[in-house]
Amino acid sequence: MIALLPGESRALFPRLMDEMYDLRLGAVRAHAGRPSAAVHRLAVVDYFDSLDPLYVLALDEMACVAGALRLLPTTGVTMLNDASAGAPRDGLRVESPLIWEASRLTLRRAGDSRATDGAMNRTIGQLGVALNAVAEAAALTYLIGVFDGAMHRLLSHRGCAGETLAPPMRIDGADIFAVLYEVGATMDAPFRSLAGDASAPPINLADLERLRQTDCRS
Amino acid sequence: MYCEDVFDLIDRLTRADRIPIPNGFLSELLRATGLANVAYLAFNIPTGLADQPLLSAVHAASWRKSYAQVRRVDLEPVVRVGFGGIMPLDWRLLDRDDPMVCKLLGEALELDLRANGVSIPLRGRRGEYALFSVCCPEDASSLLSPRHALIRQLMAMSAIFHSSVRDAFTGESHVDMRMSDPELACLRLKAQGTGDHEIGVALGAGPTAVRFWLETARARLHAASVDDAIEEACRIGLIRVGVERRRSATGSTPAELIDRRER
Repeated sequence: MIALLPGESRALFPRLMDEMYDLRLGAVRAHAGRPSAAVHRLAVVDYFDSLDPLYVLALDEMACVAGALRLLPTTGVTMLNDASAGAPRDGLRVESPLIWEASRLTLRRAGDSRATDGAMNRTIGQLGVALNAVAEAAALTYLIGVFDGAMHRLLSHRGCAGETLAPPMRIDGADIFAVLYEVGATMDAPFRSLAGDASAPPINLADLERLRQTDCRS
Repeated sequence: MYCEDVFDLIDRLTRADRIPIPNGFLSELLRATGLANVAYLAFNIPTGLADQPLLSAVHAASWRKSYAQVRRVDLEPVVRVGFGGIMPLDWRLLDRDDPMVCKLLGEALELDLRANGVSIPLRGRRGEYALFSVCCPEDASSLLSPRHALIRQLMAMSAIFHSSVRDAFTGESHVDMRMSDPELACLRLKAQGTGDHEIGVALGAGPTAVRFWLETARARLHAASVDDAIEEACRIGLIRVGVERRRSATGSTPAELIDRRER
């Protein structure tokens, strides 16, 4: 299942936001090579989350967040243009109303019993298909994925890495890759083959939470 | 402060000095598309006057009073959804069973506005937020069915308009005269009539990257189309192309652009 959560509505869905931040925290802990306690949860909420992005959430059959990313228009403040002192590299911003940035892609990690290869493929596929659908609805031409090295490798292995725009940037000690997706069938196809029959239109979040509460009570 | 005081203040401010905003292109776009009404609302526009917030409003007096009485700014669904999100909002997707939506759309029809339209949320690099809305004619099926093309056109045009507004207040120009090497090369080769694939081969990139560089060049030059971007790049001397080899990019008005696209 896919859910679209506009940033300004985050307060209405604290469970989903918490689960998304937990995924981010797990990813930071897994790759930072530091003891778990060294990474505080606040460290995974960044300035760009305060800009009311559009979150795309992949939910499992229990309606728990299995993967997530966020979208921001490049006409505003973005990771690609504003995240590090040196960015953008040549002093030229990537800025167009028809190009949005997808960043902070996070997935359930190995170690979580629910994160099987099949489940991870499905999640990546669902997120990619949803991303393309959102971009088509917004009449965009391109999406730029701003992903860390681990996520970039993961997508590369599955044939969904997009076209690399430039050598990786260094942000907060991590290599960050900027990759290009042309919105449309070319972008949709590799993700759809990963998603299998699991790709579906986004669900209504309010209905989802209402249903969950009903289930919990019963 | 009471609502009435706020609107008195707005009245006084609207009588203050005006800063002209170049919007000729916008008027042409509206004429060409048949879109009749435009509303533009922005917050956090940088004024260059650090301690003097700017408030400018154009609104019928009767509307202001009525809006103040019913706290309409809190309720207006397009404003609420549009400012909060980043997705273009097709008014057809508003919940028409919502009494507030019904009332607003009814009022719009009474005032000879249309109940169908699109709102484009805008985000700026200086932290500004804006919302650009247009009304579409109810019976213009030719406009409504290719809504995707209309939204793309409005996304590009509203961003150019917003930049013009911001520039008018800051006294700066954000038309970027600097281009990356691939952008310049793509514009130059495109102007010579070279195809995307061939440009990619020449630059050691794929056609996707070529189209991407053309799009970023278009946006940088605040042009409505790639053809217009090539014209502009030639005009300001960013690229030089032999006249005999230059692909015809005549017709830079929105009407002509639309005609060309339809062909």
